[in-house]
Amino acid sequence: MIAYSICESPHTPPNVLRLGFSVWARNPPKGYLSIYPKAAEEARKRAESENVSLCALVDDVWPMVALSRTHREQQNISDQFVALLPDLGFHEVHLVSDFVKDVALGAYLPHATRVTVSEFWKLLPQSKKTISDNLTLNEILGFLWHIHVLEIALGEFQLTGLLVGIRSEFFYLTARKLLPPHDVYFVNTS
Amino acid sequence: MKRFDQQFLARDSESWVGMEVDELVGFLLPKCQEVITTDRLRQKISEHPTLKVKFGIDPTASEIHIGHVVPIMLLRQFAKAGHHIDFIIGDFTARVGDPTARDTGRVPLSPEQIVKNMETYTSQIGKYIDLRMLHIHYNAKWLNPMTLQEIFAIFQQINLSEAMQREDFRARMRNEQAVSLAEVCYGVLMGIDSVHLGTHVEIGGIDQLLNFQQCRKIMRQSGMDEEVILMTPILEGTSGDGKKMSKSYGNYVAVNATHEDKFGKIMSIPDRLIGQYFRCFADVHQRELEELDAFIGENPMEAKKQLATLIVATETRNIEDGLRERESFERKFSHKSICHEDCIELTEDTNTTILDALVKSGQFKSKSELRRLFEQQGVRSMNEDGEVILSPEIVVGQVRGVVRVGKRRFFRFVMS
Repeated sequence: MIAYSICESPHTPPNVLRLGFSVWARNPPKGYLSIYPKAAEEARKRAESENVSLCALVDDVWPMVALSRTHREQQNISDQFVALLPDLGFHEVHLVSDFVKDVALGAYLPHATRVTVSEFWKLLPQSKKTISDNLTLNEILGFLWHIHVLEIALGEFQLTGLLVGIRSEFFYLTARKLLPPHDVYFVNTS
Repeated sequence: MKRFDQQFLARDSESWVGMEVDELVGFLLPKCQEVITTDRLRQKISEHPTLKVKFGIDPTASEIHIGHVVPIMLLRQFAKAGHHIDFIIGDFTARVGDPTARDTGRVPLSPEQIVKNMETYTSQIGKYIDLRMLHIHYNAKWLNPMTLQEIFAIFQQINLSEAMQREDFRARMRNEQAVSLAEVCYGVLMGIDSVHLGTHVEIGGIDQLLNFQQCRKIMRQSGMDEEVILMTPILEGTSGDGKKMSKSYGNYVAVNATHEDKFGKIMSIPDRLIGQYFRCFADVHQRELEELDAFIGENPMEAKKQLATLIVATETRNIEDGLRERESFERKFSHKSICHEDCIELTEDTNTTILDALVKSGQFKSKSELRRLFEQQGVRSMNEDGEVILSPEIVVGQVRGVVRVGKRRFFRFVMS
């Protein structure tokens, strides 16, 4: 289930894994989410960890902005995530709107100085590249925002690592260069 | 002899408030390499008794040269005509780094560097424009707190491929040099400045064209009338090899240089640049260009002296300062009469080599710089018998007369 992992960060205390899983609350929760708690269990065995916490980071801010939703519309979707994720085996569920207080440009634009256009282009999925004429600068904004969210979450919830889909491999490899030390477990979702 | 220096400097104290549109445009255009568009400029001046004119800088360097002053001289004309000058200090955009005409990415500045650079920057441009005429803004004030919703609404309007495929970016990527995401966003941030201030006219160097186009686009998409762009040329350096004036090329005239140094360096420019420099630093009207160019063609040496006089005098707003430098220059170089005050006096043992003595003077960056000057036969003694090329090994006791190093530095030795 876990394709590969990069485990370099020191765990404190030893053998405790606190993994973050990030999801944009764009649509109602889908079945594929159940893969991640199982992958977290596999990570626990691999790391010979005594316990593992899997924290879902549910981004309810970006979809609201990107899809021009009202607060109420977004809340309805977010509520579905909050209700379902514990049942699937997620130990903690955190809404981004609860822990990311600084949504000002100055908080996340500086990350953009450390990522090159070439690196960014590699991050874009092929499906987007084929329609690149229709893409806007918000692709960059979304990337910066997500980095910002992960940076805060790593500190706020004392995460030792992130559990991510292999399809987002390039993004999380790039994020590792920008964020404080953390492990990454790439999960085969296909 | 026509005295353009005195004629142009006399305009320094004039008020141009209420000047006819065509008359004002006639003064503005000689300073511009490109205007987008001249018709719209005329229209804007006619429509707005007080135009909002924007000029922005990123405080990336503390020491500036006269090439940086070129757009300031255009800005000064708008100020004289009574328009509202918004002077943007890009403390936010400096953290991003303007990609314009860069071979490599700029290093983003820290807030402390920005404050320090700005203090020295404003003290230098204060020689050319009355700082009281400027409305100074720091763009972090409105860019920093922009919410995700606000910035999303603007970024949504800019095509990603278009923003990434600027010619300067493509050239850098072809050379395997990095372009950061922040640089891609830079022009848009400038556009947000214009929207925030309701800018009518923006001034800058021609190298800013791509950023200005983004500004106009952002304004248009925000439902505003696009700003008119006035772009000044990039001043060519003093060496005449076609390279822009730059510290790194060593072909610059520092704003903080002494009057003597400024005058001397202006005198070293090739004749073909005299016209461009006059346009950049003097209030020349379009109708005067033909006469000015004819004068330069017929009397290039005199024209250059007038130009150097004008540039020195503009700084102090006093023609006497320029004329004094001219007199001193002519005495030293035209009449080869070096007086005591022109020389740096060095006290040395008679057996010290001239190379070591000059190194000890502290007037040179390095021993290797001096060695180069010796190799280029640029170190000479001057006395009643004429000039003698000196070698670095010669001892001070053997030198007769004044020693000239390069074009403009003079030394006199006193034996200890």
